[in-house]
Amino acid sequence: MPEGELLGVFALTWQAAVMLGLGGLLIYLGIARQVEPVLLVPIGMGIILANIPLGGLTEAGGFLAVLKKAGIDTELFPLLIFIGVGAMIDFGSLLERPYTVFLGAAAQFGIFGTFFLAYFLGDGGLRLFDFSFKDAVSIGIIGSADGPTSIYVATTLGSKYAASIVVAAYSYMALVPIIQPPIMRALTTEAERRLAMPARTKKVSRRTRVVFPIVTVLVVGLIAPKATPLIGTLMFGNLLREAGVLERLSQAAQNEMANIVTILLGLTVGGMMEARDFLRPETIMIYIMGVVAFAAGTAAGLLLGKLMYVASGKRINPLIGAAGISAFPMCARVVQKVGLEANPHNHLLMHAAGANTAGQIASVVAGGAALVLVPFFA
Amino acid sequence: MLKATWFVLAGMGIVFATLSLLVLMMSALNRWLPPEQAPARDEGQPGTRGARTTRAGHA
Repeated sequence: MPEGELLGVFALTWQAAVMLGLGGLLIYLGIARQVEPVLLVPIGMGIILANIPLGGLTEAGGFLAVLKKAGIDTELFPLLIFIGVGAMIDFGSLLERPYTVFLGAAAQFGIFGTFFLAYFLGDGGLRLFDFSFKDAVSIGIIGSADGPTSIYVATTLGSKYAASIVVAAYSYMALVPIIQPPIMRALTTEAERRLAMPARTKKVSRRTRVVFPIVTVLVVGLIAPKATPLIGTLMFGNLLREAGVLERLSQAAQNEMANIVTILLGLTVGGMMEARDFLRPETIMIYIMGVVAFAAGTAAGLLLGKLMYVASGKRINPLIGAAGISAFPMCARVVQKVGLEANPHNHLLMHAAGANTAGQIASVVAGGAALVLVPFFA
Repeated sequence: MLKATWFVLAGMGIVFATLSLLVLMMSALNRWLPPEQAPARDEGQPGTRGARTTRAGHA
């Protein structure tokens, strides 16, 4: 063994030290502050493991390299996660209020608006950053507020910034309660926020709940075929939940499988954050773009919410539009909280949950649409 | 940037078109597959059986 490989401390660069500190910060935020610990602790540990000099975990055959090859490069991990997510989601709120689908659709402007900005700053305009068309699309997908979709699209498009994009997507999902409320207050009036929406008593049948995932796969898959893996796994998980005779599989998807894949995915994403790739001006810009993406998606949902507020004769609280971005169920909870601040008797949670689950489907459709369109435009 | 503009328009167009179709499908499902009636307490009363049979026929 060469002399220099005995002690990693001699090979420690300042960049690696910064990354070790970043890993420690994420673990601190996860454990001490309880900010998305399920994600941030494995990611933080992955960063530390990947940046210990001479550790070899990210070299060919290393633990993290094997995980990346098996689970990220093949897009296996995000799809398995989606089975678990599908099994966790109750689409009942959406089925009771189909119109909330449009709020989810509007919020996807965060993806496309951010793409436009990233491409303008990169190869399409100012050339300040090394952002190709595919990189810009991958950066925009942060606006889906959906980790698995971000991983899927960024890796399918082969973006060189896939690791940064995935980390930004997951980080900002944890920051939804901080990012969204100021935008919600800025774009709505006090009177709009105070509007109470009645709790609907209309229920959907079990048969509708069972048929819905199958119909959704057919509709989305036939229009945006590239979204089929994502929507297919999401809706398969939901079918396990709603079938009523697969409780054991549904519980396994929600718990055992989702937990195991979350551990592996978190470690792998953290392991992709090596100092040489991560500490670049482009990465910092990607993080700034992530905020833009979340803000633009939130604003677009709110603006359509305001349109619905007027069109419905002031019966729809525009705040629920903010839940159109897919970070589930955090956005719906944020809407509930901001609504309660304006009116202590205003319970928007179920309405926002409709928009939120719509955002989950819409983000997958948007990701699929992007993948379908890129070959025609890039 | 022109192609980027078209990309944005086409992307949002696909999203809204797909989800509009989904709204139609959801509305149709809600209409064709209404919630099952809770077990009728007045099973033996005249008239109720006819109504239940009609609903089952829609399914």
